[in-house]
Amino acid sequence: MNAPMLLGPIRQIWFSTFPTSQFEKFRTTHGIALLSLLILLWSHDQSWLRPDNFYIPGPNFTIDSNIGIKIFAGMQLLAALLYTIGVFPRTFAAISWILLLYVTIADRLTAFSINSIFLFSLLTVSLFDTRKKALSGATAVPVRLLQMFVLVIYFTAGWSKAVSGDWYASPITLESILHGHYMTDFAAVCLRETPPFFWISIQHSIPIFEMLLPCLLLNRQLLNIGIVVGLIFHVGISLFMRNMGCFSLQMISFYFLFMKPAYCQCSSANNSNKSIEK
Amino acid sequence: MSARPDPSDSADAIFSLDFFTLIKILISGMYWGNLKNGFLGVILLIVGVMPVAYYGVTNSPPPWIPNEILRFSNISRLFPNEEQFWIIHVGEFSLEGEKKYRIIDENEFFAQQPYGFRSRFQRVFDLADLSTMELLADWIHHRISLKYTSRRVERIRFLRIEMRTNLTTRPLTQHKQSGMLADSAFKKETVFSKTYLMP
Repeated sequence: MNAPMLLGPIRQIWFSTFPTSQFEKFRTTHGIALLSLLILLWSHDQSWLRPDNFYIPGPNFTIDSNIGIKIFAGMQLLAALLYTIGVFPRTFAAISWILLLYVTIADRLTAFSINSIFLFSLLTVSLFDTRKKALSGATAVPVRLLQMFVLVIYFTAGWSKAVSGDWYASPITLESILHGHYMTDFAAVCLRETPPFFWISIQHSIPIFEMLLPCLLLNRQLLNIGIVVGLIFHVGISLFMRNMGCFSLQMISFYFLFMKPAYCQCSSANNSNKSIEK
Repeated sequence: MSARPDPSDSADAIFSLDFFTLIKILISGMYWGNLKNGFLGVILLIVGVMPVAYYGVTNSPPPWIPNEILRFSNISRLFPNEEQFWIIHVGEFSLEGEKKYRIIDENEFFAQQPYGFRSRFQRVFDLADLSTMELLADWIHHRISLKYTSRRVERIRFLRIEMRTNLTTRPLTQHKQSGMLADSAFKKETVFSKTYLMP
């Protein structure tokens, strides 16, 4: 295979255009997930960024005053809100990114992996021009990056369970995790009332689902199945694991990037800016 | 309408050029927007997507990523292992002249985290090495000393308590109701201890 033959598909994927309606739906849902996470974190504001807490050694960027904390919280929430409703989305994605990066560096005990997903997606949104008026000249690069990112997360999550960890070593792996720190009241009732076979079958199907999801989302015929199964998976996570709803919403927001344009048409605004995915 | 070239057309044009013409075009900035997007995309691919893939598949850190941003790459390896033990850490201190240790009330010094039931105190032990534990002990020592002004706080130690999972006999909500401290503590060991001498 010569170079042009190899470059052809890459060029097709990398430089094609995309419907902005899909990207806007993604941005709105993603913004709501960010806003939910920030509200959740700020509802426990005494546990982070306060100078009187203990911190893992590193750069000390804690905020000294109560007013400073309130201003910081306000900035974060306002930036996330404006990003969600689409007011200068690139600018406020960049501001949200800087503030999240600050939290991640300043307080390792508060920086969860969920922040890393936001850090990547907000950076991607802020770096590329995806406005409607630039549609004719916009490339699909940010969409392709976000698609690859989420597919990689799914596949490697399944892979690490099936290959690197001991997920399959015991029939009660899933049950033991659900009994841990994240257990919700709903999970407690379900764990008590449902037979072990149910949990064992779910445990065995999770890595398979995670590794197969990229195939389902990339295949036009299987896309709907992938989306439905993915939704069930994430609704299950938010029901069984405490405070994981915003993580589920965050992952669901990426599904808009895979949906067919017909599902994501914005009524009037989009009619004048149709773009056909090549 | 904007006069910008269609990206796929410009890409066609770019890929059909010979090397020297491409350099000339690059210098002239004719396709700059498209190239900039492509370039930024490749950078993000190398720094953001590939490390996640590498970390998730090989279970080891990607060698091309500096340590400072390494933790941003370890995001897909969630819950790969069975929780064979419920582990909690307990801090204890003793005052001068006392042999008996008293339990440090972690809620007095550490606020609850929004995720799960563990405070910052418990999360420190997920990430910390011995030197960090010493800093934590000094931090706690300073605060307890402010409380016990008449007697010196002589020793601080941290215990690790493991409770084996027994899903068949254990009441399912027991550990939740009792704040993870059940009566079936299985293994208890001291992970750190420090004696504070007279200043």
